[in-house]
Amino acid sequence: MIVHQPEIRQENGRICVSSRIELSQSAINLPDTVWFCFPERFADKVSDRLDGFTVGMVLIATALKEKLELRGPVSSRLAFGIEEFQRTINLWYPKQYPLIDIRYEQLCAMAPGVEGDAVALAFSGGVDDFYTLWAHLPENQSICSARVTHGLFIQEQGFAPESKDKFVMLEQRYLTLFEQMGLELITVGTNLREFGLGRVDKMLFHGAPIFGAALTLAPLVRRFYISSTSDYMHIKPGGTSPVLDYWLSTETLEFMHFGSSSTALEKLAVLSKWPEAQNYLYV
Amino acid sequence: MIVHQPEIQVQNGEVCVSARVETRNRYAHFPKILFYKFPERYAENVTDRADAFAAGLLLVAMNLGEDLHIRGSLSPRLFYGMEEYRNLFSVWWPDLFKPVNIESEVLEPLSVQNVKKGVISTFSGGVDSLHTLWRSLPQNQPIPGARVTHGLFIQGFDIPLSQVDKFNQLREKFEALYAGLGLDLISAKTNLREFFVGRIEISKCQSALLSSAALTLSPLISRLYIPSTGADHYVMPHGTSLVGDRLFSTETLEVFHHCATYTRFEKYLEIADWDIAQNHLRVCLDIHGNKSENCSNCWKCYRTMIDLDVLGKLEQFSVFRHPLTVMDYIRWGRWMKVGYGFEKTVLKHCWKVRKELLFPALMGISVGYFRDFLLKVLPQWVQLPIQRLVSPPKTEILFVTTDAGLSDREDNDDH
Repeated sequence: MIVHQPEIRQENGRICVSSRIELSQSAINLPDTVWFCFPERFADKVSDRLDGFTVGMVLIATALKEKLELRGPVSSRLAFGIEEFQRTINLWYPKQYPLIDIRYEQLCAMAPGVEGDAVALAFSGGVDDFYTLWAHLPENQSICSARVTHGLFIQEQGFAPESKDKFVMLEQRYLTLFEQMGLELITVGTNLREFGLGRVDKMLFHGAPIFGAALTLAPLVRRFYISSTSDYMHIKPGGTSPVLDYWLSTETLEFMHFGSSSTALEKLAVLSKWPEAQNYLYV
Repeated sequence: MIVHQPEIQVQNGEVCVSARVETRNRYAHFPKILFYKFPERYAENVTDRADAFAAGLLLVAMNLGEDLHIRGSLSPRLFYGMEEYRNLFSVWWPDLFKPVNIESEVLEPLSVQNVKKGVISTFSGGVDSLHTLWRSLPQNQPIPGARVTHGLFIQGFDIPLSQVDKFNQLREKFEALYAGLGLDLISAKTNLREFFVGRIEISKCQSALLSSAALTLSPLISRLYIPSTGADHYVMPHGTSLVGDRLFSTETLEVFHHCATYTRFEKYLEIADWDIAQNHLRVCLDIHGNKSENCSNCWKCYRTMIDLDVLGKLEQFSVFRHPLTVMDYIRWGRWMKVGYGFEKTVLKHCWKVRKELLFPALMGISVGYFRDFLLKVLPQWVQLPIQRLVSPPKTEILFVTTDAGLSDREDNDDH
């Protein structure tokens, strides 16, 4: 599999970062381009580096048992972590996801001075996301540099058409919620899931669009919280995990898995007293 | 617990970073001062920030149930990580670690401009350290920024401060090893383990101890590798883990739990032909002996010798007695830790590659399983006297120093 240098273009009020994909197995039917789209106002906050495409494409290439060639700049720190990421997935599922060769055309950190200052989280309105958000609001988080400033709401192409209406409805609700809290919600579109469908286990692939979108916004974001879905006593294989996420950080963007020290019930106990969660929780 | 502003002093060819530690209550064998010492040539590379002291003493404060007050500059990133580390350990061992409050007077990161780009790996000469070193050499690590530039060998971690000769012998040996590779070995001394003695076993505080020593060298390094103790442990509650170690990172120093997906056997496979490993591997637990060589007699030496024997590499390792006999395999079984899969790996490899060793391996494993069975079925009152007779003496007390100059001890019992 070859992942080409990403391109940035503006269309229909959105800024789109896309990369052409070439497979060595012609019989496999996949889209020829993978993309992430953001609101146009983030035009100067998206990156044309390959970091955002790396995580998802590593999983796809591994599932297809293809070598991976990345023809664009990739963070050295991410490349270091990807090896351990790959080995972890292989340790969990040795037969389905063998170790593959990855060739990097250019390993380098993002240019100094363009790194972001935002602290973001992936937000879909569930218990885990709401808990992470709550824990990083100024009234609950004493460390200023750890407070959330942005949320990412991701729409994945590849779901049923009716899910689009649901997405639009939720988007409006969460935009209002974030605005009320003085934060910014960024809606992201991606077709990454179309590559994973039927090839990579759903539970293993669900993190790829999140990591991809966050890394593509590297000029904006310096810290990104991934909400935990299980607690420390029950760490299981999954697409986001306290043993996995950290490996996908770069020199300028750090992924932090948050919420594993609380059980779902403990999180709910906290959220049940928070009016925003009472009004907007969507599970 | 109050950790006061650290101070730096240069004396007797060493640079010493120390901080006064004050507790609400008085405790037996509790030093008043925590220190880290390095050779004087690193005087410009140590910091008087409180990061190391906060990371090192967090578990102690949690164990004592005392809030931790830090009176020196603390990294906001580390502060955030320590809160998560506190949560992690109080989930893993709720009876041992209480979720205390952490407070810091000054939250500020170290300026990136003040940090050199060193990559340091903790080193004790064991298989994990040697494997991390091997994986991080230019011939095996294609990413330049990920290659090791320094090693950190700590007295007070597995070698007591009192065993000066033993530490010096090993230090000289390891310094030569690193110099031969064009790298620098930094030797350090700390009395941190004395704070843990009698309270927290070493297997639960490894990362705190190793990370804190490295944090003292923050101006020199941007990356710390803590060699993993094997894939079999990496998601289990343990003092060094993939989940916990990284939480001691700061804005300028990133802590990695290194090679967590390799089993011990895989590590041996990778380094067995490396002459440096063959001549320097040190796994021995004979802590009472003052020799720097492996005793070839303790359970850890046996475990290593058996692994190397079934790999057909033991003869190449000058640091162990060989060849092994059937009796040696039985002695290995006597101390075998059942349930981690080590014995299954040995058996699998014998079945595939070394069929001639199947008989002794099975003998050893039978003894190990029989011992494990007895441990499960015999009542404690039968086990304890037997264990007192056959178990090696406790080693913890060796880490209580008598250095009155820096670690005055409280001899009063808990109030």
